[in-house]
Amino acid sequence: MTDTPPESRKLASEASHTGKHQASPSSFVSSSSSLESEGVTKLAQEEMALQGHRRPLSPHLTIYKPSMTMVMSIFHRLTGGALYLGTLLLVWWLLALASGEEAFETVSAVFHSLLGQVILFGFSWALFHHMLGGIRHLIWDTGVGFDRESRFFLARLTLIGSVVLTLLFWGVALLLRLVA
Amino acid sequence: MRTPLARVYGLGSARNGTEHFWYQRLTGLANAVLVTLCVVLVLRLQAAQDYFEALEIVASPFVSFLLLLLVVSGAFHMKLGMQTIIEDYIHAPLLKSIALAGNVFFCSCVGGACAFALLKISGFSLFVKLIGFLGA
Repeated sequence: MTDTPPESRKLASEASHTGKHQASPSSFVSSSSSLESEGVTKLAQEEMALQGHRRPLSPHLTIYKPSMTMVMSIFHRLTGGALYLGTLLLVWWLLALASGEEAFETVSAVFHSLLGQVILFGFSWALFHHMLGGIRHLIWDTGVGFDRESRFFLARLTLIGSVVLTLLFWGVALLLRLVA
Repeated sequence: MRTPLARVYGLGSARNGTEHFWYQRLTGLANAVLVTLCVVLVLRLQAAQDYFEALEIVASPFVSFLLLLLVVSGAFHMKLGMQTIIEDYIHAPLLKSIALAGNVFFCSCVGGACAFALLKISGFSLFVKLIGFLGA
């Protein structure tokens, strides 16, 4: 907690004063003033009280106040998980292509159905988002981009970039289909 | 006690982790490049008229090799990523072991199936060409 930026400490302590999580044991609240001044949210204090002051296991999403970079991190993991399952689409397509014309026509029909296109659209967005998010991590790995402006800029760039790339990709794809 | 040998091997209390981090980055970087190339491939496939044209595109050595690299790098990256998720959220020892093993099996199957299909597609296309050559 020593490297927590001052502004987030302030926000956290403000949130714990005005937050909606007031229903904590009174005996605990009376002993929690020092924790609050350290930037531990009320929800986190309740968690700690319930767990008998055992440290929460990492990552423990429920105790942190959501921030943009945190939400982006969650999205990175979610899109990664989605792509993990989505690789089955590639497996199916490649095995069908290797199997013969009939199998390929089947997978083509499914992929070109409305549901298939919606799933593939989601898959492509997840792929672009995860890719840009990964590049963001590679930039951070070089030791730059950790200041507040850069973090928010990279987060916005990832989100907007993934949507733009997805729409651009589908636009060109549909255009090529029309031409062909 | 931390022996000089352990320091040379880079083994901390967790035994490993640096390699996991490093390979996650390496495969991620490879995937970013390969996926970008595959975007071009998928767009090219939009203009394919039928099964045989699609087969011919994928069977070309450059495309097959590109996809083979992506499949290997991708399967490795998937394994590393899902391993992190499992280790973060599943703490019951038996369930965790089963999930970690299942993760390896799943990624091996995905990578293996794609690689097998790609090799077969390349070979099959060559076979079709050979038949055509003999027929003509």
